[in-house]
Amino acid sequence: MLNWLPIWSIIVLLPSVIAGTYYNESLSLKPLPRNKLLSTFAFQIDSLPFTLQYHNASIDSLNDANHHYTYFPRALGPILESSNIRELHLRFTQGWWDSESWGKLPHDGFRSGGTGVEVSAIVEAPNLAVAKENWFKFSKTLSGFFCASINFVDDSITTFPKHAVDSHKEKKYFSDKANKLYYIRAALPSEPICTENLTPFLKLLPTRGKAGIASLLDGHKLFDSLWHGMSIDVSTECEGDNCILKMDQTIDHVIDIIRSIRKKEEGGLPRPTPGDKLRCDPEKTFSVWQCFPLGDPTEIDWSLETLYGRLINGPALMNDPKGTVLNIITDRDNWRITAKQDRQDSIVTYTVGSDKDIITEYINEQAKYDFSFHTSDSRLIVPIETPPLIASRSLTGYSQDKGGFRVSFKNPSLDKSVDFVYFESLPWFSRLYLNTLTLKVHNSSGDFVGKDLESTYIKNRYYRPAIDRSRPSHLELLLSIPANSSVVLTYQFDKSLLLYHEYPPDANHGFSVEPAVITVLDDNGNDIYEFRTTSLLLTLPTPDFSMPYNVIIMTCTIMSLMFGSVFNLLTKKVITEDELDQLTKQSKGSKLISALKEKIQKFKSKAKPPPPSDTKSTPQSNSKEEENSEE
Amino acid sequence: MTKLNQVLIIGGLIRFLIPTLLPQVVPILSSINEISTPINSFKSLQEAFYYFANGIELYDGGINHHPPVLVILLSFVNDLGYPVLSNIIFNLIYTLCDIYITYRLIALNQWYHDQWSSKSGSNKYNDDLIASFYLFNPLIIVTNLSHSTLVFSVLFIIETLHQLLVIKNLPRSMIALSIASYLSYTPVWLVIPLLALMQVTNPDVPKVEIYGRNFGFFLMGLMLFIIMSFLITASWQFFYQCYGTIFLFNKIQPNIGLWWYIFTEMFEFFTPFYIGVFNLYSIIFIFPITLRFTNDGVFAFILSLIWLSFTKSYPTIGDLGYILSILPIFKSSFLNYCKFSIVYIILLIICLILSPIFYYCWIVLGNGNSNFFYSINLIWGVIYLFIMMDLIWAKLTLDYIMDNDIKDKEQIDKLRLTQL
Repeated sequence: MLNWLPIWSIIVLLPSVIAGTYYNESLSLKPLPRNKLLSTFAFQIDSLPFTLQYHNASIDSLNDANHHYTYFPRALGPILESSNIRELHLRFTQGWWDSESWGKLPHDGFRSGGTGVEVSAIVEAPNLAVAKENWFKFSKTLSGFFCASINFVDDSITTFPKHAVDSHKEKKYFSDKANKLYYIRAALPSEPICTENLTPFLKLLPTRGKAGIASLLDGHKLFDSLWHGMSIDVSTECEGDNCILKMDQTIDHVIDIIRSIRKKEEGGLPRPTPGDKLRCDPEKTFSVWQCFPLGDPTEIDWSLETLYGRLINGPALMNDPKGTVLNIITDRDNWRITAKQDRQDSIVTYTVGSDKDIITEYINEQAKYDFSFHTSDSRLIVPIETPPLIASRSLTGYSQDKGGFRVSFKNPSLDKSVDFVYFESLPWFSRLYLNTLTLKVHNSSGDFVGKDLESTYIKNRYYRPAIDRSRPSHLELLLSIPANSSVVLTYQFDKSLLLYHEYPPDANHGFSVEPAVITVLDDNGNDIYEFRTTSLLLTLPTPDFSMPYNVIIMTCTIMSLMFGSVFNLLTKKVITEDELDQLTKQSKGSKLISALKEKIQKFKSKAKPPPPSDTKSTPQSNSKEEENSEE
Repeated sequence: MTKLNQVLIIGGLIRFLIPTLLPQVVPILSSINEISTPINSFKSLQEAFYYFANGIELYDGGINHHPPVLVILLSFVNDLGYPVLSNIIFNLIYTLCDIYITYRLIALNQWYHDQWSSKSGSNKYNDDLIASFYLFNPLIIVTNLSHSTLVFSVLFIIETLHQLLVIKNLPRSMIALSIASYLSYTPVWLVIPLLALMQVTNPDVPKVEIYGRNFGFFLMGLMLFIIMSFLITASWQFFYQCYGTIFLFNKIQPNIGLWWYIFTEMFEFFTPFYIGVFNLYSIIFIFPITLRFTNDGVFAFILSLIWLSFTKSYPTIGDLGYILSILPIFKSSFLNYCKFSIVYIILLIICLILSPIFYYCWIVLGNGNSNFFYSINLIWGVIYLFIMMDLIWAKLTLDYIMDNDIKDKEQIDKLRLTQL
């Protein structure tokens, strides 16, 4: 995987090669346009070499004697081993990466997930059923470990990405030749990312977040970013029988510097800017009463303490002078960077600089480090790298029973075409009609629509339709977009009604559709860049949740009405009404009733002869009697 | 030009020209819940064509519920000059289906009249009227324009009757019914009234032969199609997807029937029980109806059809439309004694107007909820209730008149019947 990880990975990996240790960490700071800052924490932990073993849960218990954890977290190792996970990728991301102004994602996007939580793993298993079993067991364990709802991973959101499998084919680390490797993936787009996910993340580090760059990490500051992502990647690397577990943990986030400065100065509550601090545009009307505000200030002054509220607490490991490193990627001429070492007895301040593009500063003294940044024009930064492709996905349609997807891709390059794989996994309740897929192309010679375009732009496609409640639909398209043109894909789907018990508590809020993954390929078909679209919110039709009993009652009423009437009509004998009257008169019951009637009449006339004045009461009582007798 | 030809041409042109000139009508109609269901919509059929063309397994997914033979036969049509020409061919196929059904209905009308006019003394409707009742029935027109596969199923049901009664070819009739059953499961239960009808119309053939041989033909036809489907798809998945879905009702989408809302709202642990009850209910009266009306087997057959379309899990307005257009055949016998037709016709009109409005309020505007639409489902059930009661009562009245040999018109008018 190294060949396509350029400068970022070199920064991360270089110290480990030099020092030959099992733990490295680095923090990279890179100012972005409009007073934003991309800050990247990277931690790398290697385990001791060990022999790979297939663990069969039904036969043996986990071999605990196999200690190969030094810095590698003791908590995570047995989980991976017991479910035969050979590779793990876990992503926690929130926010939207503005690729048009921030450029390429850090680590070329290979460490950034889509909104929510994303898990993918390579499982070693003799067959698919065992692989799935291990996968579900593993996801349940991870759930508790990271305080995230990964336990909701089930068949209905699990996919087996085809392109990713193909690109992992050359990896061969079996403990048993008969076994296969299964690449399994699931995403939970509606999962919020918060402090409770950060704490277990820091616990995995040998420093536990108490020393080194990890000491900067504070949930309040970290999750107050415009975009943030945490990732954990564990991979097995083997040389013959000797294997090691490599773990890469990263935290990337984009900070709004102005906001951080304001929060530090004014506290959390936003207040109106005082008059003397207003920045007015002098070219427009400008008086005591009028002020056209200018944009953000370009002359800014900030330090790590402004951003994180903390200082770097010495190196991570005392015996490793190159284990903790700080990289600053910025325009050297316009930024003045000062380091401050706060030792117990003295404070040392010095200017940091270097001849290279990247300023590298090792944290090796037992002191509290702070770095302050000053620039007279924050617009002057290292030019951003344009991503190879820009994509966005949105929902079309307005009703709750059907809708469509619209995915637009734009190749920003003026001279190079771009090949990429579009991976999408949609929940089963959006029933996709892929035959409605249409392609719209926009390039310098105009707009084109048509079925015949598909073969020119879609090089290959893989589609596995959804099965209700047990499988998501899985679409992978290999597209190729020529230079300076854009392609829009649209396709339609129906929204299914769910069962009463399948709706979550706030059913009308909608259901999240996981982000689509776009993997850009180079000419040899290797992955060079990866990014994701945003997640989408799908509103499904909802029944009235207060109705279960009423529906059962009313539907069954209609059914029994029908049943009763038809049953009567079919079984009873047809006669005329006269015949019925005669028959009823002859029947024993009616004879008894008429006899009774006579008795009552007699009794009444004996007991209380009706007064001649009360004329109205008589017919009433009579009618009542009749009613009684009919009953 | 005779009146019949005029009707046929206008009816045919409506079915052919509208979707040809306005191709967007078909996808719009095929996604309206009242007109087509996931089981028989053209939308899902087209998706099945797509699967077939792209080598995706036809039944390894949740969209396609059409039987394999139908999908494959029609996909050959679809491949002819996609998309313009194939659409025109589809329009033509559906138009011809309806014209064919019309001809069959006219022949059936003649046959029924020949049987009953001597006994009841009533007149029949003319051929052109029978054709108009069918071809100008708006419910049938929208069903046809939506290209619902219900049309094929109805075609084979009518063909069953036609083969049996007019052509008097019993094996072919049975095979036609087996095709109809293969296409949409529910007609499988029509074999009961059909066998009884065979026995009545062929009194000289021994009973063993009727029941044994013809039922054998029916089973053979059905097995043949199912085995053929198995050979085509090389798995039994189609069986679950095509028939299991209807039986187990696991594709919940609002329709005009009684099933969807009760199963949406049902508590999880009761669902299997109610699935059983509803399935039992849907066939409970087939046998009693057949026994009670052995003297008029066609009536028993149609009554069973009404019962099945009332109780089926994925009904459409087309189901009722076909029934209403078949009923004029009975003008020769009992139709004159139907008294409530005005009530249920008004109910039907109210239903047809309100149903899309309420659905729109619920799904699009959000100012109504599902109960609005559900109330229409209940009224739809009441319409069936009225139709069933009215027809049975009319038939019983006619039977009474004929049993007691009442000829006097005045006496018939004065007749007040009841049941004991």
